Order: sequence, then C-alpha cells, then structure tokens
Amino acid sequence: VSEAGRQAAQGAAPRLARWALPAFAGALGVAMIAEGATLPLFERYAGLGPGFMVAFVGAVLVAIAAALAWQVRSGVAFEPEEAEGVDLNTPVSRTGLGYAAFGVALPVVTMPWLGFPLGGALAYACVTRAFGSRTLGLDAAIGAVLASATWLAFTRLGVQLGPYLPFGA
Amino acid sequence: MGILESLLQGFAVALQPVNLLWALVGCALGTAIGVLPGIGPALTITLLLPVTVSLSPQAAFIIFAGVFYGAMYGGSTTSILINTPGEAGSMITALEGNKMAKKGRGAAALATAAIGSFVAGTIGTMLLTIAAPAISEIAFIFGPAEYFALAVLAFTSVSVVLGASAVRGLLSLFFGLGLALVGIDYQSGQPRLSYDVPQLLDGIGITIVLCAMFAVGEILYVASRRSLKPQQVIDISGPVAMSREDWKRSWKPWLRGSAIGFPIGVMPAGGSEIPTMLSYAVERRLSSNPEEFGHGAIEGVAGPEAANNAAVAGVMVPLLTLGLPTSATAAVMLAAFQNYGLNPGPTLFTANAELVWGIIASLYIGNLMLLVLNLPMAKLWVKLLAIPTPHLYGGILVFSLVGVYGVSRSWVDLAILAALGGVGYLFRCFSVPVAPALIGLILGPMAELQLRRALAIGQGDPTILVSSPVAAGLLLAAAALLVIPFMKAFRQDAAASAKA
Repeated sequence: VSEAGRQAAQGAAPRLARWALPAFAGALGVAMIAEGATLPLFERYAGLGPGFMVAFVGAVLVAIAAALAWQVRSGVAFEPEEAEGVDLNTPVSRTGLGYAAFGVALPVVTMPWLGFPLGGALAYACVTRAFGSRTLGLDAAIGAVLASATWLAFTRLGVQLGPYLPFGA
Repeated sequence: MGILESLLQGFAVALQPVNLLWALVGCALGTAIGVLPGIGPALTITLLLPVTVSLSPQAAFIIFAGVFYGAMYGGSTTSILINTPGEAGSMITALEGNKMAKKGRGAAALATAAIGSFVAGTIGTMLLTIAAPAISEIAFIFGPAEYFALAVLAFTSVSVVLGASAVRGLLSLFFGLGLALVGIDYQSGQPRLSYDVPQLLDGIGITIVLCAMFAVGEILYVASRRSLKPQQVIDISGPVAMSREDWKRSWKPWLRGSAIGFPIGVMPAGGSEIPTMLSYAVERRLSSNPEEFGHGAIEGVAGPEAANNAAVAGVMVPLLTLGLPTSATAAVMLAAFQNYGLNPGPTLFTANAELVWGIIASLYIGNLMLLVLNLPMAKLWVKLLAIPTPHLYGGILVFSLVGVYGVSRSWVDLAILAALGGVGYLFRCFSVPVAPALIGLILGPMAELQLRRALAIGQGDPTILVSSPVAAGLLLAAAALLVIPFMKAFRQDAAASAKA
C-alpha cells in the first residue's frame, strides 16, 4: 500500500461496516423494481408507462450495489469525507452521534404535540449535548428563546408553524 | 433590444433602493455562511425559500445571487486565516493562503483573494452578459430529445466528475432520481412509490431533501467525528492591503484564473474544484519562483480564487439559458425559479426580461458590495467564529425544522427529514457526494417528461433520441464521460496485475 493510499484510508470504516453501502443500494433497488413491476411499464400509444422509470432506476441501483459489493470485496477503503470541524484521526463518538440522532428524531414526536418552540428547544438541547456542551438546562433555555423568536418571526412572514403552546393551546 | 439596453434596464431594476438593500442582505448573509462551518449556500437558499415567498421574485433572486457569490468570499477568509476550506473550491486557497498567513502575510493573502474574486466575478458576469442571450437563442432549437440528452449529460458529468469515485457518484445520482419518482405520475395520474401514505402523493419536497442531506447529515457527521483541537485563528496586523510587488504578481493570475474558471463553470459539472486546481497548476508552471509554491506563494491564492468566482458566474449561464443546474446551489436556484412558476430556459430572456436582466445587473452590484464588505471588514467576519460550535449546530437544526415543518406541519415530513438525514450521514461516512442526488431530484422529472414526450413524438421509436446531431452529440459526450473513467480503472487494474 502506498503512502497516499494509507493516508486516504485514514479513519475508514471497518470492512463489515463498508457493506452498508452496497446493502443500502441493493435494498433500495429491489424495492423500486418491486414497485415498478406493479405499474404498467409501457403505454399503448408509443409511450413509456409510469412503471418504466421506477423499474429502470431500481435496476441501475441493483447494478450499482453489485459494483460496490465487488469494490468492498477487493478491499477499496471507502474513505470518509473531510469536512470543516471534523478530525478523521479521532475515533467515532457514538455518544455524539447518538445524541445528535435523538435530537433529529425527537421532533417527529414532540412537534405535533408540544408545538414548534418547545419541540425545537428540546431538539436544540440534544444537538448542543452531542457537540459536547454540558449545560443542558441553559442550552434548552437558549433553544427555547431561539425557537420562540424564529416562530414569531416566521409566523409574521406568513410561514405557518402551528400554535405556540403545547396541545394546540 | 440589444444587450447593452437590456443590461441598462436591468440596472434600473437592481439600483432601486429596496433592491440594493436586498443585495446587501444577500451579500452579508452569503459572507457569513461562507465563514461559518456546517452551512453552505445551497442550504441557505433552501431555508430562505419559505421566507422569500412573500417577496417579489426579483428581490428573492437578488438575495440568492448575493448568497451565492458571498459564500465564495467568506469561504476564502476562513481558508486563509484558519486553514478550514468550507467547500471544495477554497481547498487550494487554504493550501497557499494559510501558509502566507502563518508567515505574517495574511493581509496580502486576504487582499489578493478579495480583489481577485472581484475582478474575476466582474469578468465572469460580463461574459455571462454576452454569452447568455446568445446561448438562449441556440436553445430555441432544442426539442424534447435535445433536452433529454442535455439532462443525461448533466447527470453523468455531475456524478462522474464530482466526488471520489464514479460508482459512488452514480449511487448518489440514482438515489436522487428515485426520490424524484415518489408521488403521483403527472401523465397517468397513478401514484408511485408512495405506499398509501397520503403525504407522499405530492412527492418529497426539495426543501426536506436539502435540509436532510445538507444540514441533518452534516450535524450527525460532525457530531460523530468532531475535532477536539481548538481552532487557531491567525491574527493579522494592519489593514488588508497589498504592496506594489503583490499587485505585480497578482494581476496576471487573476486574469488567467478568470479565463480558466468561466468556461469550466459553464460546462455541466464544471463546478469550482476543477478550475481552481487547474489554475493552481498553471500558476505554478508559469511562476518565476516556483519554489515558493507550497510555502505561501501569492499567485497560488490569486489564480484559484479568481477561477473559483469566475466559475460561479459560469454556472449561471446554463442555469438561466437552459434551466440546467450544474452545481448544488444552482439546482436549488432552479427549484426557486419553479417555486415562482418561472421556467429558466430560452423563454426566460423574452418572457421575463426585466427579471433576468435585473438578476444579472445585481451580480455586478453584488460583486462590488462584496469587495467593500470583505476588504476592510475581514477581521470582523472572522469574529463570527466565536459562536460556540454546539450552539451553531443547534441553531442549524432549528432553522432546518422551520424549513420542513413550515411547509406542511406534518410529522411525516419530519420523519422523512430524520431518515434522509441518516442517508446523508451514510453518504459522508463513505465519501458519496451529495450534489448528484440533488441534481437527480431536481432534473429527474424534467428528464422523464422530455423522454416520454420525445418517444411519443417518435411513436415509440427510440432512435428519435439520437436523430438530431445535437442530441446525438450530447448523448455521445455523456457516454464518453461514463465509459472513460471505467476504462482507465480497468487499465490500471490490468497493469497492476501484470506487474504482480
């Protein structure tokens, strides 16, 4: 392995995790082919039916999955992306990822019940925790102020963000 | 009406006080997001979409253009002073500019970047002014087959040229094309890929996909691999200015950078990465002191920065004349046009002359504003980095939630945001580029529509797709783009195994 190759592989996922990519492409492709098969592929007057593109995209995704699987088998590293504020030499922080993912998923449940400001504040606090902040109460308060201000500003601008208080009050 | 007259009319629109104010808002916002990590021009414009609905299209696009240009200026400031290139186009700037700053020449690096961006942005906008109406005339001969071929060329070039590998680029593209198919088929009225979920019948909104792939994906990714090293901002003393020697060494790279950046920006998938690298290579070869390269050569900042900004102007050409986005930001701008019921393409120059010339004129004004905003105030912009990272990313999530929840107030949209955010995270973990997915999502419906139209015209005969020289040529170029990298890889593999 060349020096450049070793550097490119810095922080690369373990081999088992690399199968995630072909698995994702393959599952998506198969689902699309199945859906495409339920729709007419061609139409009588020389046109393509609604199912054609669905099945076509699905088939290409399956082919891409096969190519990716071949790459994983032959040891392609699939190096992670460099980004601002990211250090590829540090191990992946599961706590950080977990809190951030929780913060992103939480509004699905909270927002329709608690309203935008409160739902937004909770999501905000989760993300600040994911980035290493330890002042959860203060962060939630800052989040509440920010979310309330955005709610107010955007509602004035005509964007409908629902009622201010929980349970539609 | 001649180009000059049209442009003057455009200036009459852009110079209205309220439009000047919007240009200033856009430029300031663009510079700010260019400086800040985690948020780029594509996401900013997406988040502005619901807000700008209450504005006139002119005002909205003047803001968007300011954001587009401004992000490039802001990106170079952080590249030079803290060595964090926010986007691919500033990578080279970081290479030489940061070395200059470390040697105490940060002020000169910032100045040559800002003035070079201004020069190149203005030259690029002039070329846009001349080229766009001419290209839009040619585009009138485009029928469904040609438009389909053009979309295919954009698809292949975006996915093959951008990113680390062609296969991963294609995965991103076809993921985007798949997302575009969700919802009711416009021709047959049949629902596709909506699995009896009523909220999916209208399709997946572009705002949701953008917020998910750009903002949520980025939040998850950075949170999981956060750098714990504190950022070191290099202090600059004195005003941001250049010496006579610096001017002498900068002006030619600016012009050469503009000449390289604009045409590559015009091409599908030109982007800003290739022209900056090309400009860097050219400057290194032509420099009388090549030994300085890698240790802070001013030509290595001047050329690539100019190329970067000229490419941005170039990207506007296919967007305005053909409705063809060649970068993620351009794709979002196309979506914004569609939001207003406007169709970029040849008819835009005749049907909405005032709007399109107003946008072009505001690009000239925006460039000047950005020079004024960035040259004396570079140090001030860097202060934005004092916002603690946890709060910055918390804020980005809240704004993304506004963008998504404000559209329909549906929990389904929030669930899609979270799920697609997971895909954005997965893509980043394996260096799958996000831009092709976006181009696929936005151009996919157009490509399918034109393909079906062309086939209907040809009564089902697929040779209609290559019956005109333009369509055949475009498809041939697309095929070449697709095949060449695979041939190269195959040859390398064969050579490697022959050696072994």
